[in-house]
Amino acid sequence: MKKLRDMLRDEEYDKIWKAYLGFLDLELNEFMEIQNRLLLEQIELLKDSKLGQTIFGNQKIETVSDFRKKVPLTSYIDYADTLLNRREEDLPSKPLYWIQTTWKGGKESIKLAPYSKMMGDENAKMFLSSLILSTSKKRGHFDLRNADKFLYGMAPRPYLTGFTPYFLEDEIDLTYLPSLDEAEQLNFKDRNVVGFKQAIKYGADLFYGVSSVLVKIGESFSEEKGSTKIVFPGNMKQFIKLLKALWKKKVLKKTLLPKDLFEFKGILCGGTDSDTYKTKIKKLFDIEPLEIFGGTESAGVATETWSRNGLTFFPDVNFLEFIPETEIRKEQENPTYKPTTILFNEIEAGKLYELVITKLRGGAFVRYRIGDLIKCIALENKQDQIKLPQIKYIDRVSNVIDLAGFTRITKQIIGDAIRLSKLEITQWTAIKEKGEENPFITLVVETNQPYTKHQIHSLINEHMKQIDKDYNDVHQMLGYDPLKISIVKPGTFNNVKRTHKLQRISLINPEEKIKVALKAS
Amino acid sequence: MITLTQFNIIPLISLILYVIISFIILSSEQTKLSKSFLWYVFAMILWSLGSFLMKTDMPPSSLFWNRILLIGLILVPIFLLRFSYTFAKTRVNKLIEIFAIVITIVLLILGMTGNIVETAQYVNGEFIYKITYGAYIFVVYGILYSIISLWLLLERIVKYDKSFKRNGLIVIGLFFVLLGGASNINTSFGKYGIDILLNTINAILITYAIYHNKFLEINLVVKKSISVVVYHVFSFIIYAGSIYYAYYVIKIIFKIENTFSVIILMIPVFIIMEQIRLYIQKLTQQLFYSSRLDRQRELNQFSRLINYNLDLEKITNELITSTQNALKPKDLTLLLKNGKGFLFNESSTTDTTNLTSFFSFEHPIILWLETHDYLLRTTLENDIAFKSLWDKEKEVLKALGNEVIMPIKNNDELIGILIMSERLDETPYSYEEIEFLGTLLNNASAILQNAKTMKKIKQAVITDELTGFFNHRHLYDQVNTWLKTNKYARFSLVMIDFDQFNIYNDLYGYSSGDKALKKLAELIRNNTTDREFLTRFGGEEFVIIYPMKDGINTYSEAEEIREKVQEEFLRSPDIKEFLTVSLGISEYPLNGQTLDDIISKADIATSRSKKRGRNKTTLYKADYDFSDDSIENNERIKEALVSSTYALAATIDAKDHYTYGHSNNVSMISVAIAQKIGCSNKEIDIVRSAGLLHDVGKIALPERILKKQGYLTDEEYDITKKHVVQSINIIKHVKNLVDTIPAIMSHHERWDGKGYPRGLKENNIPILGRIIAIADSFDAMTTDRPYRKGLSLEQAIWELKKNAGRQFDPDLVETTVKLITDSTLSNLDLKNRLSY
Repeated sequence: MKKLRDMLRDEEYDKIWKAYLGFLDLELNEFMEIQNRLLLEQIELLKDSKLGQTIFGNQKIETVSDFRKKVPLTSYIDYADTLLNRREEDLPSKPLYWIQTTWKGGKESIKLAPYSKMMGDENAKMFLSSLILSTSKKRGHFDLRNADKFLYGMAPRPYLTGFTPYFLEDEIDLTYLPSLDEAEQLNFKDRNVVGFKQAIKYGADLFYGVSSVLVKIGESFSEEKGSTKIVFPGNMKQFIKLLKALWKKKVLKKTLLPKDLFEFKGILCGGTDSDTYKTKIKKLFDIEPLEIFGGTESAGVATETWSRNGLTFFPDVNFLEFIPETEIRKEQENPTYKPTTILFNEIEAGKLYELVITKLRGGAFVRYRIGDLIKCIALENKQDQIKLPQIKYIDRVSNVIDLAGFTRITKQIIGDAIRLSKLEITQWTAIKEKGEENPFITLVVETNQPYTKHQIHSLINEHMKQIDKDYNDVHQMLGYDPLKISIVKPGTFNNVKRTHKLQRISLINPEEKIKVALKAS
Repeated sequence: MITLTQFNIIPLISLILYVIISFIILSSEQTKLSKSFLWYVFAMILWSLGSFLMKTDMPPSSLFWNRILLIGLILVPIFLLRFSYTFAKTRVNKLIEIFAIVITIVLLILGMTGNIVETAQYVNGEFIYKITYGAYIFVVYGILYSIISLWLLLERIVKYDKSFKRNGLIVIGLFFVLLGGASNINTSFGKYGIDILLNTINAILITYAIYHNKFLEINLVVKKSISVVVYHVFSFIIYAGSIYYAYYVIKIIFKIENTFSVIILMIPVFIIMEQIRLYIQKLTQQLFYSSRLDRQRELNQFSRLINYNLDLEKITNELITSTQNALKPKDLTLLLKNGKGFLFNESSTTDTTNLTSFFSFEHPIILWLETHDYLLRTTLENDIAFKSLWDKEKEVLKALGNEVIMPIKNNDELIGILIMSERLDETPYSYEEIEFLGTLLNNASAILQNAKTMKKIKQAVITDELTGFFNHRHLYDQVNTWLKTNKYARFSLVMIDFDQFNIYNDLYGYSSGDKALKKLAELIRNNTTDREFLTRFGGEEFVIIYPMKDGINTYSEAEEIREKVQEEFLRSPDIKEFLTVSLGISEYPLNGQTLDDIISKADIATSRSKKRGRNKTTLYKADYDFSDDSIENNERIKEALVSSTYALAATIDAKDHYTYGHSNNVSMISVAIAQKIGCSNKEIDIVRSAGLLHDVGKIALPERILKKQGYLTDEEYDITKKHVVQSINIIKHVKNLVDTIPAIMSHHERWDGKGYPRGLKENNIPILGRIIAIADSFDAMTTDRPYRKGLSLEQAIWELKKNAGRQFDPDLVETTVKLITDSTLSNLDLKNRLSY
């Protein structure tokens, strides 16, 4: 197959659009046909594998309907034994890479996901689709070219984002800032810092990273200390840019913004709370980032398009099912309840769903709850003329608090921090708040002791930083404190429980009416 | 006047050729490659034009034309470099390019200021020029950049293309450029224009390579124009040359000036020239249209061959051969439509033995071809329509080399597809060739469809439509041919017969019977190989012939089939499946010399299997013992039947004594009614057993319902209804009682069709079932229960009459009423009648 680099070189832009973004022309029934046909392939592959046989049990699974009726919903614990022991022979396809991610609240500290050669290739293709879209202003138009300078600010291998540049190697020639070899030696923070330094010197065309980091780095340019260092430009274009910037700063005495130094063709960003940071990125870099939604187990799930007005699902990466909000509630009330799912062609605009995926192309995960909440915002994108339902990534499911795409706070982390602080806190619950600038946690505590907010904050915050490195990174890299304490009078929790006839109040993100009741008291 | 000399003839020829090349390129598809090549040709035109005119006395001066030459010459390396980058598909090295631009500008300045060629003069038909230091700079630069260009191409061959065959001519051409550049250092060589000659050779080689390897698509109209131009140019050169030479010989050497003599002497010259012209014409045709002519020939030949042929195999073979001859692909795979999808055809050159029905009717490739004229590999790889292809399918397609997939359509209906791999010499197919293939397939489609129909008809004549097995007639034809030709020294014949099939048909109807026959055929097919000869002999009888196998060895195979049927039918949870098979085996030549002999022996063996209690396999023996079929034996079987009936009835008794008493009563009343209406002894036996067992399924009912006093709820009633099904489920396992199934199954049906389980109506309800229905109700009405007394006979008669034509068969009601009034029923030893 002709690679993207060859098509770019031969200026076959129409062909590229068709090959990488043809899925945006699909009608809903065509999308479903692809989904169903590939699921049947996956069923065949699963039937021949030990993992599949374990999940299917002795049941005869032949059709999509059999599959949905008879196969149970799964979570990582169902795969832990096979995957963490890397039992390749039990999988539906031979893995070429083992991709790692953290397993907050799991029985081990990490999760592993197998990727076959085909899945790696598909992931590259999917990522390129988003990258092309990030440089696109209208249907059929894009600016991605060979040798573009790519400021790549994502986690290194063995995380999925670290593998992506290697998946892309075969497809396109990009110049990474910093280079892949250099980046391998650097930690997450340093590769962003070094990358931006090189970007000032040589210029950069593309950026992929966590949106909160982009904002933080962008803001540092407007600060005095960030812009006084002398940088020698690496090429003529950048020389002129830096000269202009110097003029603006020194002569016109205006505040310097990142857009004065960089001229990105496309910015790709992922991670929770991307929505919060989008406007800031646009202001700082003069280009609106394109949001991409995915994860280690699912790979790429959906991408925004040129209007940046809703995400469109990829049809051939995962088989998609959705748990409606009403079903989620039923399960919350009765943990033994088995929620039912609906399909992509059944979701309704304005409703909230938990995503369930079955990895296609020989993947391991079957009816797997990745723990992400999405909202269907419209049944089509009229502006971009996409006839497929459009979604918005909302958050992690309510038992996890994700801050700026950096960390996943669970009840264990907060519980441990409270225990270690030795504070006498009788009851508590943690609530994620969107915040105007940055997302944060409000920890509502009930105590009989005369602690001040500051006392509780400093002790718990300190212990959380020690327990969770990612939480510490939020302070270090994004430079803000995401913990707020709210103390309620003794007995408040029990009063709320009584009023709302509850056995218990969820430790993470209780229901809206409970949040309101606790805050009111 | 311009005089042609040995110095300027080479540049002139070059100029003409370059103009032709530029014409070809301008008329071809505009790609990056064609554009970059055009710039190179443009520089060469300037060079050859300058070179030609400076060697004539064309004003303004030789020096002026030399400057024009220099512009072209200096531009050649940079354009050659750009062409090489494009052709080699590597990214332009900016440093090399910038250096080339700079040096080109410097050289142009040097050239225009006389620092490359100091003087250039055309004196007395000879061209004299003097070079200075700039020329050496240019030569070094020219050679360096030619080496870089050569390097780029070699890199392409090593890294990507790996085919020297495709790129070799271009490499050789560049090597000539290098030699030409080097020749300029010596002015005594240089004045002959060796460099331009070698550069021209390069351009011709590149043009040929581009044309031949289809790096660019040149359309037919342009080809025609080119061929006309080439033909005229060559004709002109030969004409002019011949006339000039003849004139020279006649006038200068022989000094003949007489016009008449000149004309006479010129005649042989013209005759020879006409032959040469015809030869040039042929050569030009061959050069430009040879492949097209070959294809046309192939198409004609194919049409001729298939026109009067209806043999599918021959037509498909011919289609593959013609396509191979015309287009030279490595492989061709043909798939033809049948009832299940698109199947691989054996004429394919690829190994398709392990590939079964690969393309279903809904397959994305099939759907695409229904509305398109062809499917290219690039489309298959990139178009969203093929996103849902399975990895396994992609692998198969890759193995088949799916360069082009073509539909074969007859009247807009897709009847087949042809998968063509890449060409033997790895050059791409042109659109013209794909169009040709379309025409070929179009020609083939109607005849292919006819041949398919013919094959289908032939097949239909010898095939049983329902099962797909051979029919009775074909069995005789085939086996008699074997016997005549002594094809097999030995074979076994297995006859398979469904047991109780008439009951099954009566009970469930003929369409269910057909389904059962199909299922049996499928089981037989799955348990035999391609070597065996499968026949539906007639009705529910099948015959399998096992070539070169004796009876004893065949026995185990036959037993496997019997067991499989038992497993799939009798042991199936579906109550309908009570069928078993009886099998008989005979052997040729041991049991007979003719097919009729062998069949009759197998038939005897099958009958023996049935008499032994069905669901058996029997190997025919000549000393067959018939004593088993004696009256005594039949009595034994009958006894076994009665005892199994009572054993079953006793199980009901164990659960509910009332039900047993009731069943016994129903049995007796039913027998009385059956006798009265003149049923046969066999039917009377069946109704006796059926009456006893009609409620046997109640064993499966929960006790609370079975013993409930008073009315049942709707839910309980629904559960009770299931006892009919349960009864069949139990009885089907007792092979002697299978005869009772229709009667038991229908004893809750109603004359008006409102009964259950099947809602049968009037005479569609088996007669024995109708009898039991009346007997059952009559007994229930007139029996005492712990919580109520039974109705009087008068009341019962009234009830029966009231429901005649609704619940009951009106004729049977009349018969029953007679039996009541003549006290036949009162004289029976009925249970639970304490009040009488």
